Amino acid sequence: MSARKFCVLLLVLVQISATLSQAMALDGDSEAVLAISAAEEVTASAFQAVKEAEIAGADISGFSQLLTDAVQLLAQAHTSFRVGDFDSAVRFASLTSEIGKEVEVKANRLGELKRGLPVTQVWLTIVESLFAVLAVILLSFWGWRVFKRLYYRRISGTKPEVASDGS
Amino acid sequence: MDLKDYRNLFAVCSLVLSLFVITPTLNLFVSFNVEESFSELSILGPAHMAKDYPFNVLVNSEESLYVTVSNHMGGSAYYMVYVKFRNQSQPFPNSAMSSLLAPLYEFRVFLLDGEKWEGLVRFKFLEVLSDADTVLVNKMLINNVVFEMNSTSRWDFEYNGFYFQLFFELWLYDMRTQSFKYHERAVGVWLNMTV
Repeated sequence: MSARKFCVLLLVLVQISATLSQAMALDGDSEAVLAISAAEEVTASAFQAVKEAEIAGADISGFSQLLTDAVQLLAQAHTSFRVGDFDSAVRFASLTSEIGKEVEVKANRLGELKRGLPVTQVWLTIVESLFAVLAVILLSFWGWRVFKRLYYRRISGTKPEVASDGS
Repeated sequence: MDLKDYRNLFAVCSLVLSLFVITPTLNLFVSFNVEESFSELSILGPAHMAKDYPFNVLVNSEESLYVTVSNHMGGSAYYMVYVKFRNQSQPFPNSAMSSLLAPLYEFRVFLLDGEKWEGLVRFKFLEVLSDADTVLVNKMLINNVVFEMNSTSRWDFEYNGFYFQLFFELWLYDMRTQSFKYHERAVGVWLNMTV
């Protein structure tokens, strides 16, 4: 093999290895992008489920720490990605997705449980209020009658009697 | 007071009592919540107090401060805090627009209504080049993550120093757009790199 051919072959090999390494680097990059984007979606869904449960009247304090853990890991994934540490980015994003899914399932379950209640709860509240208003009206009427009777008795008690003197 | 006055008094009392007992039902249809909703972003010194903020910084010397976020939005909220770095010529975010500089580090936090979060920010300048009238920051460490950067500061003749600012922007997750929106709050500390 002539020296010229050898140089050309070497150049081709260098070019191929450079392209391969670039492709591999892109792979790590794109894997991290996909993992982070999936984690973003899961976190958003988890947050939405928690918000809906909260609006339905559920006590969501139990999810607070779990969701904070998830979003903090997501922040770490973003930071790792920014500095080019794609392996860590993927790892943090995967952990985020795991926790996020858990939160979403639990929050949805709690939300459904709470959302099932309102129809009965609303009617119960309305009926209770109506009865309470009726009781107030009846008590007021009864109280008013008692008060009026007492009032007349007091008035009649203070009226000066007209003395009938026959003489 | 005659009987007519007493009758009116009875009617008013009954009405007030009726409104009181019907409140739970009214609450189902009408919201009486008139509280102002807002969020707080602040920074504290290393002793969790609003003093002793890092100012004169040296290369390879670790500094720390705390960033705090409080939620008074009337419900749970999902926040993001961007940590950014600028020199005097780069603009600080205003009330309507965030800084266009790329964030270095970020925090994310989920807070219930009335909750407060505090995050530690430990930072160190790893590689700083300087000449007579310019300082160039090449590498910085924030919470054990190394950031490559290229930020230059010129000598400030008014305040005698090379100044940079480490600042924090608050972003709030918007459920309607399903994305973070700048929450119009930013705070920062000036750092003098005169070494």
